[in-house]
Amino acid sequence: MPVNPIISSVDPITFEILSHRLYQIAKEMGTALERVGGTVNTTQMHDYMASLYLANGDVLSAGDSMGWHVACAGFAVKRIIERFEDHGGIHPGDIFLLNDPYLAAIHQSDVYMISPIHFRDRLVGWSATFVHVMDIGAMSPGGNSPGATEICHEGIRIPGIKLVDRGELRQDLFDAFINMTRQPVMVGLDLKCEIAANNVAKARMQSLYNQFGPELVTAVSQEMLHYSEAILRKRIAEIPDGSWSDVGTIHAGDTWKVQVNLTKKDDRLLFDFTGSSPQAKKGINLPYHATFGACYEAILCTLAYDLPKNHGALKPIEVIAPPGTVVNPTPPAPVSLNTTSGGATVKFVANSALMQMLATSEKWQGEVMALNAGHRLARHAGVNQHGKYYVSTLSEGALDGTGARSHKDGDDTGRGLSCHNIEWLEANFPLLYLFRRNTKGGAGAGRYRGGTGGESALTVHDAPEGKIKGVALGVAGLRNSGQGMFGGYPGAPSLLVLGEGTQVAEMIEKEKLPDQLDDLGGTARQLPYCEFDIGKNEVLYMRMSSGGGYGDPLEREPERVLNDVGNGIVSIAEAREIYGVVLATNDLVLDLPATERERARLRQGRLQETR
Amino acid sequence: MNHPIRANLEIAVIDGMEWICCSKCHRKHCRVDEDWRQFCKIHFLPPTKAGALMADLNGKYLLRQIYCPSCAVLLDTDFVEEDSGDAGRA
Repeated sequence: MPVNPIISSVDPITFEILSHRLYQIAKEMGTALERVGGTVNTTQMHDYMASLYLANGDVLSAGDSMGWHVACAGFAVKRIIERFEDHGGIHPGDIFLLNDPYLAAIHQSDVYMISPIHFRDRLVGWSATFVHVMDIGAMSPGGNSPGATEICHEGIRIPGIKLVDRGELRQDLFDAFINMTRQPVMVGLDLKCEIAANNVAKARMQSLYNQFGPELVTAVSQEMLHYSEAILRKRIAEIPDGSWSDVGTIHAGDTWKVQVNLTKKDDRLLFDFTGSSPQAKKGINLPYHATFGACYEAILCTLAYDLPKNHGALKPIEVIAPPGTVVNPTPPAPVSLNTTSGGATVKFVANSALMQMLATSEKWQGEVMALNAGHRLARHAGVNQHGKYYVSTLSEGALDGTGARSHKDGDDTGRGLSCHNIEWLEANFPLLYLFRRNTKGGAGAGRYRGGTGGESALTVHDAPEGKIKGVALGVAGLRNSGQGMFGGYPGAPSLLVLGEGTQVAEMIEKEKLPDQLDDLGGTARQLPYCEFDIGKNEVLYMRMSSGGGYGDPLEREPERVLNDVGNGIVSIAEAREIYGVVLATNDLVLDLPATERERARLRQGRLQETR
Repeated sequence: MNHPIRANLEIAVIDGMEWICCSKCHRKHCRVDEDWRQFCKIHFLPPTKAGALMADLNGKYLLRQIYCPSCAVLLDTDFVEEDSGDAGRA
């Protein structure tokens, strides 16, 4: 039954004002997280979520947050209601903590704080936040544990506790939690920024209720959900019915497959992950609610990008994920690596199927873009130059190049979260960056090319113990990175490489800055999921994803190729061999007649038999 | 009803039947319930044909490209494992 998008009970101006006010409250919660928090995840990377919920746990308004966490926190609110409604109670001023991946969290490092919002002693809604705390007492520092084979190896797992009781912090529970981590002070700060953000939500929502009254706020809340659902259903209905599929893989000793089949019928979407691999004894597994959340996020970024982000946008979606698989594991399967491995792969295939669907619509095909199948990245820990033990992360992920779109090139860097500041990192941790820059030759070719992506290299510097520990994460194997769309080429694979036995210390002493790994001597090995040391004369090289291309490279405007050659993105040889663009010898000038002949020759070659 | 299915491919109704056709040269590739890839030209190439940074894939993957057999427009590019069934399919 189609939902009528016409707002019937609230006048449009009041609706606009109040719906934007709710969005601003969720955004302000995020600002509170950033300002009160202290770790790089929260203050620089924006690895957090802050949203508002209805009294029953349905999403009311998401701030500028990762969509899958918005959905997962909705599950968390429902789990807290189930646990505390009849036992312990839900009172004004309470704040609950939950990080159990088998209830609502994605992995234990993502700690949810959930706070009821009361008005005149009546429960009227909830606020919720998550931050990725810097340590969770798992096998490996930072929480992501490559050696874990079951969830009990992966740190503290709380199905729900009342951390703040009627406005009073329960110091006994707080201390018990932070003392189980390697960094109690910083984790304590992580938790307190969440308490602060939830307090901001409570104060702003109560002010809203005082100003407009509970009846009007409730009516607008219902209309917001109604509006998002109605518009989204209308958009889905405009697209031809059909089904589309894709498969992503993670290679780490074994190979794990994530498979999706998307079926669109009328105004509904069904994501069916049947056919995905059985759950792994490695923490790549993604719990059901996160698989659901990944599909929700895919919708938010495409068909619903301009709609209020709330529960209405969930309603047209159904997700099937068979129990006991990498997309719906059962205990005791480990999960700690999942956000950047199984999660990245689920997001990739869900988005890929959606893009194929959008391409069948005259109206929506302009929104199609090439996608990313994940990247490699690392955490680090040790004793810093100030003599203190620390755990932190290398947030190079924002150096990913974005995929090309149907009408423009991808952005060279800037996909996903934000990068940390290098000066800040070097001032706090015993690391020295050799370079951070755009990758040359990584962008996937196409009528529109992918973003170049970025690469970094670093070594230890002034480390009291002479070394620090690293933890290797991400989508292992060589089939990560940007994937081409409709003929566009894939981007270069994302790599995590440890250079050993190099001459980097001597070069730095002589004030020679290395430009390439090959300049450093020694040997280089690609890192699987593992812990590793970075010591003297060892260099960690990180190449992030390059964006995939869109369409046939022989259809790219020659002037764009010339520009790419001038910027070092494409070599002269690649311009000729991939794009069929001929430049005058030793000069950056297009030879258009020769280009026309070369493209005709390459097209003819495509029609030849090969084997 | 005619509509695109991806860049350079569309569904066209011809004499009451739905066909998957090339959007550029209008070649009829196959009926709508068939796999259009089976009716196109497929090449398997060394990974470095996609750029020098693909060298890590040498020996493990092949670059698979699918073209319209009439106008040669490139319809799909992907890496497939060398020893997979896909690599042997032409």
